Amino acid sequence: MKFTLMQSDLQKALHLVVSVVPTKSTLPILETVLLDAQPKGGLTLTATDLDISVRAQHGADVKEGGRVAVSARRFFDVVRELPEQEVALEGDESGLTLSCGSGRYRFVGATVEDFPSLPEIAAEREVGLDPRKLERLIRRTLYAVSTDETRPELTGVFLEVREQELRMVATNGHRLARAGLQGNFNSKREMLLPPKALNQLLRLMSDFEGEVDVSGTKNYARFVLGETQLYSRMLEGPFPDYDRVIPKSNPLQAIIRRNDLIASLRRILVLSDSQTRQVRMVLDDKQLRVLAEYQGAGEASEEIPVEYEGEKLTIGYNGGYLLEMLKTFDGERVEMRFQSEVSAGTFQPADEEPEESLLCLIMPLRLPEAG
Amino acid sequence: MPETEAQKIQRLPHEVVGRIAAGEMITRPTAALKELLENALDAEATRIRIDVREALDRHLEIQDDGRGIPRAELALALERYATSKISREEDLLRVSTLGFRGEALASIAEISHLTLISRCRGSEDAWQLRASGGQTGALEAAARAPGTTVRVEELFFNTPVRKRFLKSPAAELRLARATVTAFAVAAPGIAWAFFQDGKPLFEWAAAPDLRARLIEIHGARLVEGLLPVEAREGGVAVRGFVGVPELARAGRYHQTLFVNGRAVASPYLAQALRQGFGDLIPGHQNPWAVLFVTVPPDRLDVNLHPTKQEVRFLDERMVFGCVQRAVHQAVAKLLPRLFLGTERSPATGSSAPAPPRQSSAGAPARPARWGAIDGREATAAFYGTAAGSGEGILGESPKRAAPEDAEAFQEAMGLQGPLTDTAGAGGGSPPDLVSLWQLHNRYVLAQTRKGLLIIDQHAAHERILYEQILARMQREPAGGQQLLFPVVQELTEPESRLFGEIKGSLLRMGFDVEEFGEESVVVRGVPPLWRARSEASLLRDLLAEAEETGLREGETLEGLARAFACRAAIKSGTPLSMEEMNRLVDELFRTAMPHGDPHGRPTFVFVSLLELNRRFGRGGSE
Repeated sequence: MKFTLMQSDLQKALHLVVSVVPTKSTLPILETVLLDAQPKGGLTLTATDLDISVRAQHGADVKEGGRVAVSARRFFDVVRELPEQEVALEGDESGLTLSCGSGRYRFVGATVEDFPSLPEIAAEREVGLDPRKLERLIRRTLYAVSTDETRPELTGVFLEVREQELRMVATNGHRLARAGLQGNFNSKREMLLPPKALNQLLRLMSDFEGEVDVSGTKNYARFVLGETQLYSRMLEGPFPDYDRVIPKSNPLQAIIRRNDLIASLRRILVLSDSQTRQVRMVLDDKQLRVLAEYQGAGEASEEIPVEYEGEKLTIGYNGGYLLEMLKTFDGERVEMRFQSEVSAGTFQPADEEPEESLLCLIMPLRLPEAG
Repeated sequence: MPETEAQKIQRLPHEVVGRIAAGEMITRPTAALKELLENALDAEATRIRIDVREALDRHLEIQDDGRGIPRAELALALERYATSKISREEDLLRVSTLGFRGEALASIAEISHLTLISRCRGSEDAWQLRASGGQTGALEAAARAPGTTVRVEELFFNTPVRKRFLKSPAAELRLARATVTAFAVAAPGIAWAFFQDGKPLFEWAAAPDLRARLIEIHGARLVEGLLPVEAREGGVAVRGFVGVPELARAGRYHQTLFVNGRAVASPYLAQALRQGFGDLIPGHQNPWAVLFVTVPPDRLDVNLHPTKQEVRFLDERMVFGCVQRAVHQAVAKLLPRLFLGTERSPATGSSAPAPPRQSSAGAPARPARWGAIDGREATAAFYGTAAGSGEGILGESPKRAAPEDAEAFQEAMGLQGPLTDTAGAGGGSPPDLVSLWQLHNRYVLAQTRKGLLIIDQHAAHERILYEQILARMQREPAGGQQLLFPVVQELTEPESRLFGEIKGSLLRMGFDVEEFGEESVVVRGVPPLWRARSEASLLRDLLAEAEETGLREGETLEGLARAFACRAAIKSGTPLSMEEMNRLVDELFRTAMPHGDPHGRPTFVFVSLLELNRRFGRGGSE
């Protein structure tokens, strides 16, 4: 193989793929990046950790095609230190030589055949999404996943495409976040995505302007961002039937200013039990009292004005869950709905963009009888 | 059938009676040594020297500088039941000297070649008396400084059976050393020397106190790790030292127990000692200890056996409780000592408030979370706002000034890795916390002022969960985290029987659970825990663990809490975030017994800087 391109182009392409490379792996081939130069197609870079793969393409002046796999870390570390000028690369299976100005850098090649092949996914596009909206969907759900590895289906985010709506849902069994986006998707697909893949996707999207194409197979998901593709193995499902646990009608409705509640919780939580992070919320006529106590440390309470006219309700929550959730909300006001002190409370931004929706559930901490 | 002589009942000859009695008391050479040492102590000696040649039973000589025996009483001293220590039967109830039965010297004289040389204080001459197999010779003039010498040669020469059953000379010598050591511990004010074939095995100068004596015997390094015990309840006093749990070993050789100054073997006291350590010591081991128990002489019976090794207390329970509580108090002080050393820097901080926090890295930091290791007090006083609150960790800082000795305390703790504030409260970037490092996803390493702390993450979490769940079951039924997706668990028959028995405790733990059909239960809520492992199967795991450990016999809340902690705690091999490590460490040192998990394994190991310096050959410098 033999090709030339600008140092900045090579660095940009490498930057997209190298973060997938595992730092230590039992399979040495995974620590390499695969370079594939084709006279017509330019340069293609691929890196994988078997679960997640990223492939990036970039134009290059290819005189002779070929493939080589070299240490991703070393190759990238050299390339990014080079001055911005044309670099020439020449190599075969045994290795790759990079020339830039007076410098010559040779990297020993690994066996190209050992490099894992990427899943075959039909080229056709299924769903196109605005990257800013996809980002929002991810940020509004990713935090809610479980870390309990005995229930792998809860450790991922469920992405569901329906005819008129795309939803992302995450839950750890105590709380649930469901973010939706209206649109004419005219497709049907369900994916259970590992957080690692979504974090990569967020990274790739951060300065991407076009449209993100989402497609997949039974076991793999693919996100195409222009010249860059992200492949992810999906988690073992099934994802629980979340619609079933969302209360249809929680009669007790309250509206509260989001920033008021966030600020209060930040103060109150300091004096909550570090294990349970329990806060007690007492909803009464036009006011919400938030209380916490931590044996041996102290106790705290605050009153926040609220739009509420129902009966008095006392309900316990993990305050950490409330706070984490509220940070993903936009807009000034939050609508809270309750039924009883032992059933799920629902929370949603009161002022939402027309085609977007967000609904969160938190299961209460049952308060001791005495409370 | 003619009667043979052997079948007639007849009075035993005098010397046989003497030998039988002597054999009962002087069961082995070390027993003779012990009796003679007690005599020396009772004679108010300040220096005692022991000489052994070849073997203890060949040649044993004890020299003291005590009162001495008047010439006129020397012969009497070798007679059985002759003693200067008690004179009436009532005195037996108030024995405060070590020896009192008046048997020792006579018994030894009965079965050896014994030489007694003595000079009274204030007298000009020394006198010597020899006895052999109970036959006393004539008084002879001798030369000696004031004090008494007892030389015992060819012990058991006339009791061949006893002689045949002696242990090897080396074993006997080991025991003799242990015996002398125990005496030396009990009497630090006396100078002790032990020579074998003219070579010193040890020479200990008179020490000002027990601690100094223990340093003489065991070295400063071991004594550094000892915890002083000091308590008094009613007429019972307990003092001495116990070792940190790491010094615990199988067997009891490393325990020296004294009752009213007398070394005793008392399984009863040893048990009280062990219980004082709570569950910090594994079942097959016993703590290191030197303990002196003092009770009023009339509340103690030492006359159970001629060797006086066993004792009986009239107020057994009280003594047991007193020892247990005294040890427990000492162990509870373990933590501050380990980290702070014994000194606490004098308040360098004035009443001026601590410097205000700044949000840039490297700025004067607020005290890091290690404060918690000084126990609840410090945590409450000093970290009240931050301690244990995840949100606090995430970058919220106390706005009010810290208490006045904040700086001093911070200095004393040797805080590392300033807790810099993260950018704004809402910032998502991970906070830069105290330098903690997770080793092999299993141990958390942390720097303290005095060295390195290595925490076993699973054991630490077990300890935390154990105490929390126990508190919950005993006191306040806490709320459970309700589940969005209730879990149905099938139980085996024994599990479901066990479930029925302990359901009440499960509910108090925070489980929201009920029977669901014949042999399954539905779990709607679980105890709220951070970083819970296998939440869905927690109940089942708990029942299985409780089954395995035979909980039903014990029926204790402790057993249930142990099973819970064991199953719910984070496993070894689980990666932890910086925040989680901080939380773990913080909560561990808020527990009542942070030193060990509920099974008695240690939760952490402390490697002192001193120890590291020694290993790198940087002698002594800190």
